[in-house]
Amino acid sequence: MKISFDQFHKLWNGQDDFRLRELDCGIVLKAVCLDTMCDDAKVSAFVLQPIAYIGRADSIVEVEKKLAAGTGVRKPPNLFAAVEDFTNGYTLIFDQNDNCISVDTRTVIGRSIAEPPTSMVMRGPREGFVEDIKVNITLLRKRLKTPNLKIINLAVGKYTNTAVAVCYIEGIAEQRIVDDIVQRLQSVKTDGVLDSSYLARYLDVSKTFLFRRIGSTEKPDIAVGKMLEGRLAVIVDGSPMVLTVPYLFVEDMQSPGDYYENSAMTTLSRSLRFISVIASVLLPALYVCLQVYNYQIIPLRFLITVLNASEAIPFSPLTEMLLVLIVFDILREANLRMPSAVGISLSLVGAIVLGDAAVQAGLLGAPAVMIGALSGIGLFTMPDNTLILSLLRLLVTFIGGVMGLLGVIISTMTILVYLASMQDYKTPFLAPFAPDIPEDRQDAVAQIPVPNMKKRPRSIPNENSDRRG
Amino acid sequence: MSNLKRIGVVLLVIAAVALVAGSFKGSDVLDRAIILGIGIDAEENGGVLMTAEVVAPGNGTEQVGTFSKTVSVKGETVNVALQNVAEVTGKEASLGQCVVLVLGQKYVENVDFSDLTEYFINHHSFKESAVICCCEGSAKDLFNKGNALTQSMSLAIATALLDQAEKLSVTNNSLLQYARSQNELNCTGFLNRVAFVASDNTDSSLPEKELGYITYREMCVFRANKYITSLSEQDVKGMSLFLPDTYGETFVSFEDTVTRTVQVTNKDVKLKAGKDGIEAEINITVRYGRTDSEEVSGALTSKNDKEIPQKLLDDVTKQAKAIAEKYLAKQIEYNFDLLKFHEMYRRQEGTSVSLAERPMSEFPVKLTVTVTES
Amino acid sequence: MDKNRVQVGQLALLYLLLVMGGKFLTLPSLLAGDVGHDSWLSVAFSFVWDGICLCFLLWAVKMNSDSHLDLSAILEKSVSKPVTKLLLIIFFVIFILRINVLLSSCYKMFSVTFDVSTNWIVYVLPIAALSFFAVAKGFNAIARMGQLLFGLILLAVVALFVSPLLEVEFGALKPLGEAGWDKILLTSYTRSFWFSDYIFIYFVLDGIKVKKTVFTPILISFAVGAFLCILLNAVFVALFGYLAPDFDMAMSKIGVFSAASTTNGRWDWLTLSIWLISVFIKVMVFIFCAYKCIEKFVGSNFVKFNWIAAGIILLTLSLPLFVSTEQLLGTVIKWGVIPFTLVQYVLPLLMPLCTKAAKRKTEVNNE
Repeated sequence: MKISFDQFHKLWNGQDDFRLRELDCGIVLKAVCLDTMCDDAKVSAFVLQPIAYIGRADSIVEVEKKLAAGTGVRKPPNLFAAVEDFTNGYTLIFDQNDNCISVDTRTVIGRSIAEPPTSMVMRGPREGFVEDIKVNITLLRKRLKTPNLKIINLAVGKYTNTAVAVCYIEGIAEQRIVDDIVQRLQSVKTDGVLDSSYLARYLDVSKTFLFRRIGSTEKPDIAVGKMLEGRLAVIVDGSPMVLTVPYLFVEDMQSPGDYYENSAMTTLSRSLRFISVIASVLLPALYVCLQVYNYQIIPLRFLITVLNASEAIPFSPLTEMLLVLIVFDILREANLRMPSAVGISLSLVGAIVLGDAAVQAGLLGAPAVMIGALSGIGLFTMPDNTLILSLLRLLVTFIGGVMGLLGVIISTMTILVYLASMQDYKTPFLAPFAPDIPEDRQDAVAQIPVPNMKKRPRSIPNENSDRRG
Repeated sequence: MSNLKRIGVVLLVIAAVALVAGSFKGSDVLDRAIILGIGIDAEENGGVLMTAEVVAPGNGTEQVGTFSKTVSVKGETVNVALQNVAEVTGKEASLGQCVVLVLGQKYVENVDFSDLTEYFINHHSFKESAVICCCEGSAKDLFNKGNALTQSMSLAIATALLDQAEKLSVTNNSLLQYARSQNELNCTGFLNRVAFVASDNTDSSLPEKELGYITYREMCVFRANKYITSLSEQDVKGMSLFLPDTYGETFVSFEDTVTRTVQVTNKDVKLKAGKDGIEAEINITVRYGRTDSEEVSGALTSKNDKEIPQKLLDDVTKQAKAIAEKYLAKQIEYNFDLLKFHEMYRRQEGTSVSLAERPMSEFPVKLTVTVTES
Repeated sequence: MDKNRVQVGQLALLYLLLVMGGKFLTLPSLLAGDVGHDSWLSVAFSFVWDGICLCFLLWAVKMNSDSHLDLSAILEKSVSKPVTKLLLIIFFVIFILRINVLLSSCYKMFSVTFDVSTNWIVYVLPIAALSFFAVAKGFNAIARMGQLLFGLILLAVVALFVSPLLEVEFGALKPLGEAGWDKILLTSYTRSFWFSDYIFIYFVLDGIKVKKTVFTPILISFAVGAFLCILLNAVFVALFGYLAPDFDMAMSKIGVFSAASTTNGRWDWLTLSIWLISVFIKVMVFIFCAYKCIEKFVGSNFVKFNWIAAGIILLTLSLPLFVSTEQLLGTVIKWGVIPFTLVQYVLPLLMPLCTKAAKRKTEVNNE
């Protein structure tokens, strides 16, 4: 649609923060901006002062040339672009023929770069992404000084018009996947995108919603690391969470600090994470089904302890365990909402008072509380704690309590079949284990020292598999 | 429509869960009487008197202390008796954790207990690896006495026979081995005989209970689950000389007013079945009985300096040969085969009735015993 | 067709799981009843036959690797349509019988060993649901799951074996061939129903992704599987002697000695349950094959999950409600051995020829 000042004026007049200045420098110019989005000093320095000192100009082209002090001066091609610039804090200058230029006078409001609270590291960079897309791209560019870093800019959302940047390294990321993702983002039809997690739902090809299929990170070093493996980073304005696609299940088990530690230590801690996550899903279920069906498996002395503890409990083992797990989930949920000072005392109160009182009162058995707590803590070893596992735990426990070992086996197998069948963007979710990709196992659970990783992972499609150049 | 569909799906799921939950019936551990050990005695009118040691949970906070009680019930058969256990305890009897089966003296000496072994061997949850033995006196008395060192009599017997016996040169039987021995070839096998030795009651919490220890160095021999004879401690010692898995026999030599004890640390037994009998070569290594553990032995042990005089070694050889021969004589006298001579011939000739019926006297043994210092 | 693709490595692991799954349930005691302590020889002979047939089948797979024809295409082009349909019916019957025998042995194991009483329908439904879910997700998902659980299952089997291996005296297996060699061979023929697990390969022929070699990985897993099965049978008869024919759940009995220490509890049951996963994987694979049988019989590709085919298979799973496993093995399989031999042992030998003929025909058609 053709840009016209009248139309523009109609759209915005009456808004409190709408500023309109008429200027004369030979030709009559009209400068408009949104007070709330602009920096007054910038408007003055980049727009008003230059025009005031131009002397005479015959056309707006001449004016544009004279606005030498502004870094971002451009001609919006149509009304939509003009509105987008305007709402982003640009100052628009119109002449009488409805020619328009926009000058960058955006105000900088936002957090400063800080260490993200969700992924603290002992060692390694402490910078984190912020809400501003420009800063975030800066953080990436700072680490990737190559012309091959390509950024595709998009705007998503009918009302929010959120800026989205798809970043990838040309020559590493597979072009077909880039095209696929850009096309997917372009076809998103929605009112608004408030956070990157909105877009994550749209990028989830198989629409599973159960497991996380799109990675997200708050740390630029992680994002760059993943881009160097052939992934794409999707930055959404207003969100400090940068999405990475494609995503593998093992990434759930990899912590930001892993690459800055000794690889032997990393191997150990990753194995511990795997063991504890598997145990925390299966342990409550096994405890219940062993009590209800196959107590012969329990070692005799432990069995006697269990008998001692649960003889007086008014609940069935299944109810007891479900109760413990739900209480644990409630505590965790409450903890999230609490200010950190209260949170600590809440978790103390929850763990000690509630647990101990329940055991003392004969409501819950001590082994059940212990196993519930163990399983609850186990899940938190996952760096990116996915709550879905705590839901699965409840489900498997229930099935195990109802059907015994058969139920545990069948529900575990169902989950595995489901996980194994997922394959988005040509990337099997469970790679490098199923399908088994021996080359990729060097950085899955076990990690070999970084100098020895000469190949990019094969499970992520890429165009150049050699890391050394 | 979609609402109806949704309600339908929810109802279907609930129905499925209810169906599944209703159809799976397990055995909740709290509804089971977990039996640790079973004692069987003869009843006068032909049935059995079963004594079962059952786990008895404490009161929730107490997790140590006496955790088992014994119940004694009568029944025409074992199965009936087990049902009676369930009646008495109010819980279904569970044999999955049962570690020991003790047969009373009168029972094994007077009754053919084939149906009993058959019952337990075919029982689905009773472990074939459980220990079976007989005892001096009645099994009921044994179970009702306390062990001075551990809390449960069943566990005490089982650990003693499974873990300790072979180090004291006594071999033992699992239910499976015993059942096989009673039905294959010569049909003879043995049971360890457990006896109770009373000691002073030093446990103030159980003032009225008779405490003591168990001994198990004697054996009873059975053919097709019928009692033949019993083996004294000497006989068992002689028998185990032929078994490579046991060790720890002690030999005491009195000479020149000095008493010396040597202990067997390693044993190399070669039994060869030939046309004219069995060649038995027993090579034992001994050392002075001084250390806590005699387990360090074998080819990979470092050499010690010799310190046992040849005269003593000769004396041990003589003693060992004497007890071995005495045992062999007993084998022939009562015609039982605990060393599996028949099996050795079966491996050469195949199974036949004539082999199974061949008496022990047709297997003359040529015995050589050598004793060396380790 | 992408979701049914399978790599040779995955195929090899899956084949090993299939060889181990199911053979340790009732088969050892049946064989012990037939030929006593020579049962392991009988198993060995069966595996010799299996190995030969497997080689031929793999040859056909190799030939087919560039054309990706499926079973019905190969058979229809090389023999004829009616014969193909007949063979598919035989296949279907085999798969259904095997699934039923496997499931009913498992059922027995759950009710007898694990002491869980339930009824057949409630027991079968979840397993069937899992299998159909896997069928809907494609063979690839099954293969990948097999790959994931393979290590765990193998570990469980080895853990179950270790203690009995130390306990057993292999001398008890002497003298060799006491039951008579003719009887041993005959037994391996009459019990052939339990063997030739490679028949599932027929139904994934079109999806096999051959990279370098077909023979080495699959033959290695065949050798390992055969060795473990022979070993188990040997250990079983040597350990239980005259009792072997009575102990119909070999795996659950053999584990008793893993838990020798008095107070350890029955850890062997836990390993046993892990091993049971391989039985369920076998059931899943066979249900997949039965489903494919219907698909190929009807002659149309099921793009979406076909509920009618699933319903038919589910109906056949109620067979054990009417016929006991003993009857099934005693009559149906006794008489079915001849037609079964046709697809188990004769067809693989002919498969290379058929593939060649079918490929030539396709090329002619294309020209």
